[in-house]
Amino acid sequence: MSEAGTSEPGRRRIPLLDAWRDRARAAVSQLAAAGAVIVLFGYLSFASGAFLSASNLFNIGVQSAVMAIIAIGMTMVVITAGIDLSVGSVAALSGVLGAMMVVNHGVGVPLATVVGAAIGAIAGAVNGLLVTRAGMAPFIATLGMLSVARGLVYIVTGSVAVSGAPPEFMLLGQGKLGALPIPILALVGVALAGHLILTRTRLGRYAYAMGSNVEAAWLSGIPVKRYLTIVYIISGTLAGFGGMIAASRVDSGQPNFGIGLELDVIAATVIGGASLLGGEGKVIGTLLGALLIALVRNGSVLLDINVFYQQVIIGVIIWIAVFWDRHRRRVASEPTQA
Amino acid sequence: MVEPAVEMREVSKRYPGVLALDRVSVTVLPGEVHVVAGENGAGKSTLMKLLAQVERVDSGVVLVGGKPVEFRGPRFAALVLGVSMVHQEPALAPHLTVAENLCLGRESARLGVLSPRADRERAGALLARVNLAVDPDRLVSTLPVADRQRVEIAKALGGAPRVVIMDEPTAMLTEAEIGDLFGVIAELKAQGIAIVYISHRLDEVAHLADRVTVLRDGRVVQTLPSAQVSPERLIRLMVGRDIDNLYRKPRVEIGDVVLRAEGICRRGRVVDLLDCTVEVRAGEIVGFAGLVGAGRTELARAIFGADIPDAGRVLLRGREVHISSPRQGIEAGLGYLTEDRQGEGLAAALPIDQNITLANIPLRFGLIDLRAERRTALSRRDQLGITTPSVTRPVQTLSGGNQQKVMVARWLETKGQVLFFDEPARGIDVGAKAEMFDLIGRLAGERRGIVIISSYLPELLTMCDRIIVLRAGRVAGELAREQFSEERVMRLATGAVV
Repeated sequence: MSEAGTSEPGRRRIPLLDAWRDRARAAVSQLAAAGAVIVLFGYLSFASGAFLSASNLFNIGVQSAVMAIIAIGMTMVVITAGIDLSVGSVAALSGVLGAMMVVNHGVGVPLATVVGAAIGAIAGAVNGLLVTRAGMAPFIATLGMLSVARGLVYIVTGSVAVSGAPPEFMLLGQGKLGALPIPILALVGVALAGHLILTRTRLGRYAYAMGSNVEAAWLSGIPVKRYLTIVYIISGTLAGFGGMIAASRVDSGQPNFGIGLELDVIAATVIGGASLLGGEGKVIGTLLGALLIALVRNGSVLLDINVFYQQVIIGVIIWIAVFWDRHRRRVASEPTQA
Repeated sequence: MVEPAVEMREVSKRYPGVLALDRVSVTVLPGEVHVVAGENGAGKSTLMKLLAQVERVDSGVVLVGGKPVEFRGPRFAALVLGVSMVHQEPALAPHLTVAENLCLGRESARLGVLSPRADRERAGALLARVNLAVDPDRLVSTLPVADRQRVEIAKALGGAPRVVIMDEPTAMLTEAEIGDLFGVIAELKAQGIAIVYISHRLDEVAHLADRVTVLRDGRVVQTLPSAQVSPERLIRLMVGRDIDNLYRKPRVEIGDVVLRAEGICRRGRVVDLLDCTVEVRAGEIVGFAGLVGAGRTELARAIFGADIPDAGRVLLRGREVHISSPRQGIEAGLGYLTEDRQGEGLAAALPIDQNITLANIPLRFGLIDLRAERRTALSRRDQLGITTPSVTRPVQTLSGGNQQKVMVARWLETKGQVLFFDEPARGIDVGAKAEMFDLIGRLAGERRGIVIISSYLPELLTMCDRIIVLRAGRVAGELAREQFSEERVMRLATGAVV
């Protein structure tokens, strides 16, 4: 069947095949990220004997789970052409407050986890309101929150780690369900939910629309303020949840947790094909981006590469990913009918 | 035989997937107005880009002043070759002053320090040449569009041009401003400057041109001297077929009042609306006419809910509705197709089907029904004649006319009772325009109320049952079909006393 740029109305075409082909075209960023992951995976399997062991692979998963969970929330924000710089601080805040509730006030661990996530939600709501009602640029609003949340962490903990929790506290971060570590299960759950939201709900569709053209979205009747706020709440909630998992993993609330985490999270999102200009991004892409970063870190340890080189490598990967993605986008969106 | 100011010989340009220009040869003589006409996609913009050295020629030669030139970029073309371009949307820096814009790139400076006074004087001189009396220290963002365009022309003059290219210069102007522009063009001609003029407005073309080159599908169809130019002839050359009635007049039975907006007042950035009252009946097409800045778009937005009026009521089928957002406007049964497709209409990153359903996404058990969405998009595509092989392509791959149809599809999906079309035919070619107006006529036939906002009077005079003329934020008057005439509309629009 002839396809090349025909302008006939195409009544005889098969819409499903067209849809698949267009979807493949739209997924090229993610395919490239997947390719990079496969290549790196293959390389590390050869280069290091310790790489392919089950324990190492689970290790990779668990260590990057927190970052990946938070990155899924960030993906939604980035899709709306926003940014959330506060996720690291909010994660720490949730972690220490959750730990304090368990240690100082005897609150049960599940409840404390929920409250930790709720703290993240509140921070996200504040971000969202600043952006939608006070008209602040997301960068500025969340930059302020980064500072405010971190400050609160130090105030509340006196810069001292919150420890002394009962053993149940470690369940979330170090527990397993069968053979699967709980953080990985949590990640899978969050990823599935995120994917569903972005592809099958109005919230997701509106996020893409607002990121692509917020004025057009508003004029089409989308309640922009409401949905933007929801997106920031989601990001904050996942940051809070991630913070609780991290605290659980080290069995204490660490005031210094998450410093610089937002950069890894944003990097994962961008490597996965999300555009900071909005309108593009997928959960699977973010997962691949997080995995790529995790492989770089893990590989560096196994191959005994200086830790600081990891930063350089990740930075270069970001450049390559974004540059190639921009180039591909520019070529693909050239009008086929002038 | 006078030597051409500019000549393009067998010029070709290819973009990925499309041959935009195929061995095009055009000459432009000094002091002539040479119009380049053609449908969208015919290659007019591409040709201009090559001339102004915004893009590189793939094959063929460009000669300026009789000598072949090499590609060195738009700055070279403007300053050295004397080929300047005035864009459809004025390409000025809004946060800078008029003087700063006029001298951009060639500021007066001594030892690296700018001298604004010298710039201001130069600016004043340039503004005088285009008959524009604005303070050079005003910020460009505070100027109305027509003045900004004049500033851009003045800027082009600053480079002592041989040729000034104008791309759809009258698209955003009203009749009076167009008259002024023609005056400026006459001045430029008298100074021996050649004008290359792109326009879709065929009666203007017939009036203004010394010669017309018609392009179709990237090739020159014919170059005509003005004596042989008529709108019908141009159309036939551009599309290769006869379109006898450019716009179809709808013949619809007009019913009861569907929309009544009373006493709408709103203080705005550009204009203050004062006590505007309009009515639209089922099956009726009402036109909003007026000069730029008269408040036509503002009134539509205030009724629809994009802006909240300070005072006034809106009644739909006799019942008062309270609209404070586009969402409520849509729920009340209104639709508003914006004048700025790219900026306010389309979500460029989304595919065609998602753009179509954006205002009314089909749901099943709370989740988006993707299959219903695709079905809807395909059926709208067929119904409106959107030429695209698939509806899952990004919407930017469509031509202007097709993008406009996507916008219409979006509003049809909201089942709106009253639809506002703001400059529906802007920036789309003749064939697509006819389809658009035919479509609007059909929508009226479905007993909807339609409002068309347009700065191009002939469109309103042929399509509308009634025309409401706005002037400076108020309703200056209303004309029924029997009273239609360009002079009456202009009189009401300008407030000129007869």
